[in-house]
Amino acid sequence: MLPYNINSSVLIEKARLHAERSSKKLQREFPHAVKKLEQLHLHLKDLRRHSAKILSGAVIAGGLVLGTPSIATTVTHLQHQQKAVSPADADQALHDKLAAIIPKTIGPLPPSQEQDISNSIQQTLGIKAVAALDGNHLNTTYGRIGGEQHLPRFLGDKISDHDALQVKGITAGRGAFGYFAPSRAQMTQEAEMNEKYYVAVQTLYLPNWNHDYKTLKDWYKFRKVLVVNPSTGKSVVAVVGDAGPAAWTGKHFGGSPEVMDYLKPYANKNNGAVLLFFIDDIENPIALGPVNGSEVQYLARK
Amino acid sequence: MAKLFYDHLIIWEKLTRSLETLGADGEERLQIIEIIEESLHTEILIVVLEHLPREKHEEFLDLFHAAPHDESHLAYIKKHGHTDIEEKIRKKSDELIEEIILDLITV
Repeated sequence: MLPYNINSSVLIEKARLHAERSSKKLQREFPHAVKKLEQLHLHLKDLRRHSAKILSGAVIAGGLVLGTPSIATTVTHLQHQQKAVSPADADQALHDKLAAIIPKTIGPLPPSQEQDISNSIQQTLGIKAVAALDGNHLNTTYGRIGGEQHLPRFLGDKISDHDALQVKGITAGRGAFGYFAPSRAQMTQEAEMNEKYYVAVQTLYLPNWNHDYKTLKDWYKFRKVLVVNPSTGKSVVAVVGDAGPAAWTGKHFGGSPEVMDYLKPYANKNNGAVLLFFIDDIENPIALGPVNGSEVQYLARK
Repeated sequence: MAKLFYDHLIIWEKLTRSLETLGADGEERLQIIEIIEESLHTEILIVVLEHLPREKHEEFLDLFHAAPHDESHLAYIKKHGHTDIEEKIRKKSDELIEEIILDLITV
């Protein structure tokens, strides 16, 4: 039987010893390779960040080439702007617009396509959602999302205290950005909604994460985002409440039980493609939750 | 995104399940995974270098540095070194993950 709740610093230390052992083995057996890696400034502990940097650089270079046609596309969209008349129509309108923009393959999008998507969201939902905000940009805005468990909102929170989707369970530890409230007594409606509608994003793999850790962690904590299922046009407003998933899972984002329950982005049973953009609302007027979830919500937003 | 050319050869589920059972927090869990990944990257690089002739090592590292995600590296290794490199990487990663899990769960 596994020993539950081992102090994580012990696990980190044990993992680090393995890494050091492997590093010494490489140095011992292939010193010329270690020298070459140093010349290339390639550190194996930063390999995924290095890969992300290269891939995002390639996309930006591609985006510059593709930049001009997007201006024409944007103008066309503005000329043919349509008013959605019901939640289903709004979802369908967004779906139709996105179908003409996003590629079939999931991955980083060039800036021109991200701008087209922003424009489409603005036109159909009236929400200013952007790929880059305050100079911050995720490694991808078009990725695969997987379902996460509930997160503890405060120390001692239990799954039985959550009012919905208890079957999804609750993680043993808090999210990467800490608890949603300092204690049970200090729980607020806002903290409750933040946990209900949270996403996990891969901050750990941002090229500047280690360098600008403190600033970035504060910036990303409970940052409001719009998550769109492009195959249906359904969208939900959420906050960044956790870091992950690990890159090797093949997923780029994680969604709370409520986020996943609404979006149902499942191309297969475990995960599916979504767009994830930052919401630019300085005065914080946009409520968390499904954007067009019901007639009432839809009308309230109009 | 942030992909490596050998990602599809590594089976992580067992490690993930073990870490979940051990109950590390979100960021700490990812930190542990990242350190374990460092071991894997190093050990996989050792496997690759072991199966490439010495004179191809620097060229391979240049290619790897330029595009860590590019699966055509496997074809390069097969051409200049070992034809069954996928199996070698798979075996090494399985063994290492098994070894690390055993270590982590041992108090």
